[in-house]
Amino acid sequence: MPDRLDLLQGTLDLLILKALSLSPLHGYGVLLRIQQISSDRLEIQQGSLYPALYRLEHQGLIASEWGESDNKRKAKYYRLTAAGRRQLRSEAEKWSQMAGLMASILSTTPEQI
Amino acid sequence: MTFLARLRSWWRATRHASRTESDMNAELRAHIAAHAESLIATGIPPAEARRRAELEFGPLTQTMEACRAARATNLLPSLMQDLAFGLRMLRKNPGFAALSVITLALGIGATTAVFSLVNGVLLRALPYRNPDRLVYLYQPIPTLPASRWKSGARPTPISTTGRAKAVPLRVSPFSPPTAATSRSMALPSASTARASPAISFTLSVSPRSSAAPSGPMTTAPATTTSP
Repeated sequence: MPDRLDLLQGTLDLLILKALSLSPLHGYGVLLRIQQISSDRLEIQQGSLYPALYRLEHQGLIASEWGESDNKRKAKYYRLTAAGRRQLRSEAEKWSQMAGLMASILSTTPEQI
Repeated sequence: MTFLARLRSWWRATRHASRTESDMNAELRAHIAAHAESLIATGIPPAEARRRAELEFGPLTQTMEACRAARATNLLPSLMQDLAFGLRMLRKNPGFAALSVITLALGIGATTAVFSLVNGVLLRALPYRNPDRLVYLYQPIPTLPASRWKSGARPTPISTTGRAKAVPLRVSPFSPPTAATSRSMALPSASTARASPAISFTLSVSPRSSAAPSGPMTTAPATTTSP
């Protein structure tokens, strides 16, 4: 198994928004989806998912309703709202700018200065 | 918009507090159960799978508390608890309660009194036209020559002046006579002050009388104005 990375502060919300933008999911489904698209390389404390989900719902970025899971269990499904979609777009934009900037700073060699 | 969404979410969660709570409970337990099931599917014995699922989920009560805080559903209950606790403590220590009430009452009363005074005397604008352009000049010692008034700064021209002076009077409707001070006040014209006395009426002063110049006295610098 490759090395697992601890989640950076503040990235969980963005990951949840991204996971839900692909399809509505219940809480456990969000966890599985994030693990799946990160090829299992992110270390997420499972319980920390729920405060984040509740916070996002509180902010109106995601909405929830009870439904039935694949194995006929009651489950609370989350989906992205229009505001959530906008938030995801702007946050993703900011994130890639920041990541690009950090990468170019960190790859600077003495000859380039 | 997000504020409205938050308010709506908070209201919903607070109004249906017990359902919100049981929903959260069911949701978190469903997560642990689902994870345990997936562990069982990999061949781990049920009891061990259950234990592992709980362990990987993390501390449940702490998570629940964080969930409540995320929706601020604990705001009202904890406020009520704090209030109830405060009241209980006050009832338990009546001496302390009385002392705090008196301190607060005196503090609020004193502050209000001082503020009313300051507001009336210093803060509220004078009821004249352009109150910020009114200046008050006086000569502390009348015998001092006017030249001693000069200041280094170039004085702002004063467009109109009025003057007031204190005149010692002896009022003796009865004996023995009582000393009193009158203040005569001459404002050049009603247009300067744009105000009339609250009671009684203004006396118009004829140019012949001893009072101040009437009519505008233009651009008289402060240095040359002496009473």
